[in-house]
Amino acid sequence: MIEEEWDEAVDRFLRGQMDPEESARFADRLKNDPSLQEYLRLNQALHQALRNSPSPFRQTLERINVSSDLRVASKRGWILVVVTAIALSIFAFLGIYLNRKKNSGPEALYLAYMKAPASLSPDLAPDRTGEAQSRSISFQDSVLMETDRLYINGQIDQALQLLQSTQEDLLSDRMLFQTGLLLLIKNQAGETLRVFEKINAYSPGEILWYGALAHLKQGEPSAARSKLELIPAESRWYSQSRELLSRL
Amino acid sequence: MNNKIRAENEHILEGLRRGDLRVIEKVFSTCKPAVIQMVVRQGGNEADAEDVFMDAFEAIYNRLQSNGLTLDRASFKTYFIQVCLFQWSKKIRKKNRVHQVTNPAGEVQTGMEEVHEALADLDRKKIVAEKFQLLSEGCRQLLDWFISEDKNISEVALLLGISEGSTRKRKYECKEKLFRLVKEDPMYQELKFPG
Repeated sequence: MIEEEWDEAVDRFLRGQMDPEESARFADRLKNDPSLQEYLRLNQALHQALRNSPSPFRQTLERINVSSDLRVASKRGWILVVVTAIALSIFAFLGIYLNRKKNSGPEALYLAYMKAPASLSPDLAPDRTGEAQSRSISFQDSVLMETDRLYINGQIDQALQLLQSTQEDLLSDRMLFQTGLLLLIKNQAGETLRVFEKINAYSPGEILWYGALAHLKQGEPSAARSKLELIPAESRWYSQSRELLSRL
Repeated sequence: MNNKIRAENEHILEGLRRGDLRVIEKVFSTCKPAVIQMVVRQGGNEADAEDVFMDAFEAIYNRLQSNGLTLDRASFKTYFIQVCLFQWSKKIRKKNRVHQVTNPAGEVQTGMEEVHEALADLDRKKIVAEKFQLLSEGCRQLLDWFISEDKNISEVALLLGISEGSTRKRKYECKEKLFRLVKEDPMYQELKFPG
């Protein structure tokens, strides 16, 4: 235990208030008194803790530490940005890939390629060529002309009804084709295929093309592929059939 | 130790002596990651590593400023990490008295003599600051007046409305209480005073 008087001496020493004589006496005592040495060190620690905490050098270290942490955080921020960008790219790629995959399904391909024609029998329309009026019109042509008129007017059901109400032995292959086509337009692909099977001789390109689309509508891509491969080069559907084949 | 390392050590020590910010930053960038790795490997976390790093750095700096420092056995980085390991071993003993800190190099004590007291000063200051908070408000206020505000006995006596003799006695008693708390701390027992 240090006596109270030495506490006063230690305080004066730490405050630099000792004269040289007192300072020398204090140093002498200090040299030979371990308990005074310890008391002085504890007082020094107390002064440092209360007066100078943290030390100027420690403050410098803290500042540098913060700025280096900020640099690391900034570096981490950049890494995060890069990782996010990569992740987004992967998601975008997957999105495009899945969307493309979805778009290359049979139903999607059917929707992409199935285009209802503007008219069914433009060659028979009297107001276009004028030829029909000048020659005698067969029963089949008159039905086709009426069907075409109804179709152009958007009366698909009536057009189909007209064709289907025609006596079977009077049905031409062209009428059968248009029946199948109208059924396809009405999304009755199975019926289309059944009607097409009855056709003996009609434009093979047309039958194969719309037949292939009917198979796609039915979700039968391999059957569609078989038909597309048979489309002859002179058909107007040839280039589209190759394109569709590449997507199947 | 080769001449290149010797020259580099000199450059760093001289830079630190002058408080050269570029050198201080260089020490941060070269030593801090290694210290974090070492402390984390020894069961600490990043905050522990940061404390140890800062204490070691401050102790080395204080030692350099007071008595100088000679590095003739290892590079500055190796020495710095040894100081950190030495400091961490004390810290981990305080946290967990039975935990053993391993030192694969077996060189914890080697070369620590010079910086030991500087580290002990920092630890002592930390313990004193910690125990100071356990004192009564009256004692804290009184010691603050004397030390932080540099008031003399007569000024404090006036503030307290008591005699100078009673003020002196009260100051002494507050310090005694504080130092008793400090001495009871197991960590303090490890801080050996040079004879």
